[in-house]
Amino acid sequence: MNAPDLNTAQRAETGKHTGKAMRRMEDMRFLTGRGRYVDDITLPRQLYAHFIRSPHAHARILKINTEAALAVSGVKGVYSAEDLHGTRDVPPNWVLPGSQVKGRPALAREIVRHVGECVAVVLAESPEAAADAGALVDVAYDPLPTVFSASDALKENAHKVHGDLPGNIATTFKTGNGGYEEALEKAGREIAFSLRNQRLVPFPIEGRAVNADFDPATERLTFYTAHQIPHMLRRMLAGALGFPEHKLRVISPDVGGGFGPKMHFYPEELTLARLSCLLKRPVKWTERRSENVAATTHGRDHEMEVRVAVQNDGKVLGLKLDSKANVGAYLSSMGTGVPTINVALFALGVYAIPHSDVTITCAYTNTTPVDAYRGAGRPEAAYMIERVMDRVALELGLDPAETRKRNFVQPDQMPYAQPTGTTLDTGEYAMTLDLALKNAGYEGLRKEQEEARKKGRYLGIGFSNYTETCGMGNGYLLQFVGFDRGGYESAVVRVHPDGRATVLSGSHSHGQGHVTTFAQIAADELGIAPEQIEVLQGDTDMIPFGIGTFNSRSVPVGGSAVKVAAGRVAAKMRRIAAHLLQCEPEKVLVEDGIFKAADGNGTVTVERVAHAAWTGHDMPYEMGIGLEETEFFHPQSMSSPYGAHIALVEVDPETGEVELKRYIAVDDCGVIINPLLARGQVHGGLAQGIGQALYEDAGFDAQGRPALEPSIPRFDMLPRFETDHTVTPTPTNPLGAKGLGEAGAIGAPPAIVNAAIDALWSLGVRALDMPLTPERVLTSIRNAANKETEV
Amino acid sequence: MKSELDIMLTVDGAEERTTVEPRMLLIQALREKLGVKGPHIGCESGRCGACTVLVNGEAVKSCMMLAAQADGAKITTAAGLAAEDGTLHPLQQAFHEHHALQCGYCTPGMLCAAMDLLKTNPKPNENDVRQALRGNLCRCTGYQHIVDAVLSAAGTLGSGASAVKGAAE
Amino acid sequence: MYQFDYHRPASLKEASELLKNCDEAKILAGGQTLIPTLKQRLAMPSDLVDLGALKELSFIKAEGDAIMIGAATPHADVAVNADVRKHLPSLAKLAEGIGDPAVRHKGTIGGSLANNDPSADYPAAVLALDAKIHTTKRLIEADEFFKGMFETALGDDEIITEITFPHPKRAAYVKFPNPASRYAMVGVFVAETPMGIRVAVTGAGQEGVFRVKEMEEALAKNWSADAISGIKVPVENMLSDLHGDAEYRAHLVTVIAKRAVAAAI
Repeated sequence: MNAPDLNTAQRAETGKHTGKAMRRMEDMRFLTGRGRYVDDITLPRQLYAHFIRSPHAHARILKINTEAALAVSGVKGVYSAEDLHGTRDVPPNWVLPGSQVKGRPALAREIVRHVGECVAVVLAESPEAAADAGALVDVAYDPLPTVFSASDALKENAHKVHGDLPGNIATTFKTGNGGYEEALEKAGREIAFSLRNQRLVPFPIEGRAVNADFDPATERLTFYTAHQIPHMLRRMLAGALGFPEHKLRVISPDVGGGFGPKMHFYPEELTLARLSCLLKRPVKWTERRSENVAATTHGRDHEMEVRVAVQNDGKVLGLKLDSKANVGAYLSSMGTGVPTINVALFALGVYAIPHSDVTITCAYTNTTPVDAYRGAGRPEAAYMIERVMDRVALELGLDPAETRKRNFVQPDQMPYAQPTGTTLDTGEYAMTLDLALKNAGYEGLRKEQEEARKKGRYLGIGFSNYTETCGMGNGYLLQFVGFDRGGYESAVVRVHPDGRATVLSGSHSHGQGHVTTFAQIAADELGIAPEQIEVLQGDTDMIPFGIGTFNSRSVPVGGSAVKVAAGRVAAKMRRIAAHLLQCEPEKVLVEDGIFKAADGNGTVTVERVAHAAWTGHDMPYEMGIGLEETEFFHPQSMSSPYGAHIALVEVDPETGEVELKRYIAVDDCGVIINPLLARGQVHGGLAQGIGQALYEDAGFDAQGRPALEPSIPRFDMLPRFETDHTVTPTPTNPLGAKGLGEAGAIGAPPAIVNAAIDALWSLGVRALDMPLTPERVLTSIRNAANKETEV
Repeated sequence: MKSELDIMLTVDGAEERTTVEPRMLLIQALREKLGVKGPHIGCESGRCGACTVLVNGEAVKSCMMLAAQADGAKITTAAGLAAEDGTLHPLQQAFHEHHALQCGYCTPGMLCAAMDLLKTNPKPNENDVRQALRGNLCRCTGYQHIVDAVLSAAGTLGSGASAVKGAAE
Repeated sequence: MYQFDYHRPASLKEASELLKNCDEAKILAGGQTLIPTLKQRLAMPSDLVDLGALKELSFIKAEGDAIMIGAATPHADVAVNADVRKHLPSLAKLAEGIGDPAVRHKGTIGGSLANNDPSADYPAAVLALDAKIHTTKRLIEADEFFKGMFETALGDDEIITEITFPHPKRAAYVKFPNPASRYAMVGVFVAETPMGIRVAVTGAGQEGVFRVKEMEEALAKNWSADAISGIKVPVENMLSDLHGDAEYRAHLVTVIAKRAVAAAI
């Protein structure tokens, strides 16, 4: 099948460079093995760290014996909590008001609360010596009772994860306009079920990596780290370390994938920064995969009970959600925000459901802290409401697409304030769903399904009409939910005397392609080629300030900052050019670096204009020196990308295998800057969403140890995706772009699980939990059959 | 202390001599001893393929081989694929054209695995590519653009490929 | 990794001497299991004896009614060898389905058998085809070779040199792999050789590869998937892990065995 890809991306107005599938300018170094990641950087007098981690999910530390380790040649020292005096715990920085905060200790004090928690660290002259010594550090533990799931932690007699915190509750969040019981009375029918978003290991192929380098001569700390938000890390690190922020330089060079966990602040970072300051030597640590699966934050882990009041025509009148989220042993950066705000606000999805009542309780457990992972709360919300819609359709014998259309918020209702607290800015949900139906050949699929059923084959079709919000802002509103970051992004645009330009951005690419997309945006404003523009990021000494890359915000907020700053520089260039051309600035046209008057013959080059600007020659004094502008773009509100996804699966009733045969995605992220890179983002998100639906699970064993090898999708585990877009520009930023980095991860899980349930509905299967492992699916089929025979 | 070994490797055309501990992996020798930073480490079990290099023309995970085992071998990494004048190898060029890389961390290994495929099967179909590259994980791309790039380099990119409209040609 | 000494003997004799004389030597046959094990510090050999230079152990020969495969032959060679594909296509397919190309370039048949991982593929072929395992000391029958999970009949200083497979009348290997690792959750090799009919199962048993005699008897009477559809292996002997519990594996053994019978050529 030939996907009608990208055919609607041109619907919105775009520029000479934006809207085009420009190939990435950053590719060359990666293709030739010259990417520069943190582990590639080795400094003079380099020390190497090896962390000693708890093998227990909960235990008292009795003794740390370092004697044998210290005897290993090349070992500088073995350090534990008492060596880090003056170091605070790693603080979270999105704390829902009213939360009980337990931050991650840099190194454990007395008690360890999850497998993989740092207990001590060896520093040595070589990585081998550090590891050899690490194997000889002998820690004696007294194991304590454990609790691993949120629902267990919230039981009355659950043991306490933190001794001084009864009930293990980190926070409780309630929202919605109430009235569920009345809605139920009116609707006459209730559908209730439970669902679970399993815990996931984010698994960027590059793990975390740090090189902390304190220079006693300048008393500055240069901190190399594989990070998504360098300025935010600088602030958090400076605070916990008690180090002056202006003396702290965070450099995040090439980063090998982020997906959320690389925006958090970690115990290892704090420990190594402290030790570099103490020893006055650079200290490097590169996370091993076994450390990554145990100590880098996980995603999801959310158990839900949902009830909906529904009429016979499929219209949903009320929704009641009661859910329990697992935050792990300590609060990571956004630990209480992601499972509450990012879930509850989107509980009603793209549907006009008059009454809602949402309660989310977050619990501490003896597990790795849970934090933002691609989608960060919105996948949990979308999974719930989209499972609801297919369930309603199946129970009532309605078509799931039609059921959705009966419940959609309509375009003329936009902007639409959901009673749960979010505002949908734009959306033509029926249009997008119709395109997905068309691309899927929906009617044909239903016939195929019917034919297959006659031959004993089980095909299923599942839907998902997710929404989310992206481009986080504004700061004033963020304070009320305890989000201690700004809601803006910075850009500096500088046109040099030779007519080439530099863009500095507070966003940070870890694969998204900012170097290309931001150059496209600036090029359209400045009238020069993108190849003449270099985008720099990831160095807090170089970039004025930044919030960083998460929440699919780089293009809508960071890109808008570039557009605004470049626009101001362009305006000044036009004024200078107008002076040189002796015409009005409004009459000046620019293309490919040449300025000309609309109605005149003369031209001036961008070099001439830039030379004038930086020398003051050929230019009125009042125009002022320089071609440089800084913008802190601060959106008033957030954008609401959305999409319609359709999955076709076949289930093997003998083995329980679920084969994903087709995946059709139509996403609406507003205006698209680069359709090729946009598609790359959609594909990557889909791979992770499909991974969650079919394969992935952190897979704790009975001792609370995560699986060493989570089933990350491989080439032969994914189908060819059929992607497309509709374009409804957002009014929340000057680009009209909404962001789509997380779309696939949000949209895919419910579409696939819905499809599997659709395939097996006639066998009596009513619910399936992710991941859809063959064993789990076969068990559901058998249980359904047994139930049937009982009845 | 175990005895160290002197080994000789030809890396991307250059003869290199170095001394290694017997336990040193080929990936460590390349990265730490010889400064060849293209191949990366992404796991401990050999499952991710980020360290894939060509050893005497065959794709090998360099974290699953001791440096001592490679003594005398010819090693090719992503840095050795381009022509001497810097012209990208057609496979590298295809990766660029098809946006087959995002963060770039898996890319050097991915290129080596794909080179191995094209040597043994110059005209692969999509399934061949997906099978041959299954030992290399990518968490960014969802693989489709990589598949397209490899098929394109082999001249077997069919109508099922992801057409790019609005291209800036 | 702990430290060890490394040896690359030029002859089998030298290799045997090294194994005999070193404290705790291990054979490095391809390393695709051993090296990750060492990296995790799960083993602490004093010496590694690398068989990589012993070219005489890497060969595939077809003679008479048999195929002889040298112990150090990599999976990739077995997968593409013309004689194997002609006389033992089931074995070529098995080799092609191991791991991924990089693993198949380094991993060897002898290494796989000596390791006897409960979810490895080759043990099923060797047992079902009633292959002969030649070592530096003797010839071992397949039935005598596998002694439980990660255990074999091999002595400490004994090296596998060659495996001799008969030409089967018909055979097939069907694997239900873990989708990510591609290790067998259940793999069933069925074969009819001049010595009889055998059904060998890997991936499922707590004691590693095993034969299902009841299926063999049923197939001897009636070679058809239906003939074994009612035969279940005992749940209590099955492995249980994240990907599938014992009951599921027991169920799969029958399903996959039926598919193997249907696929046998």
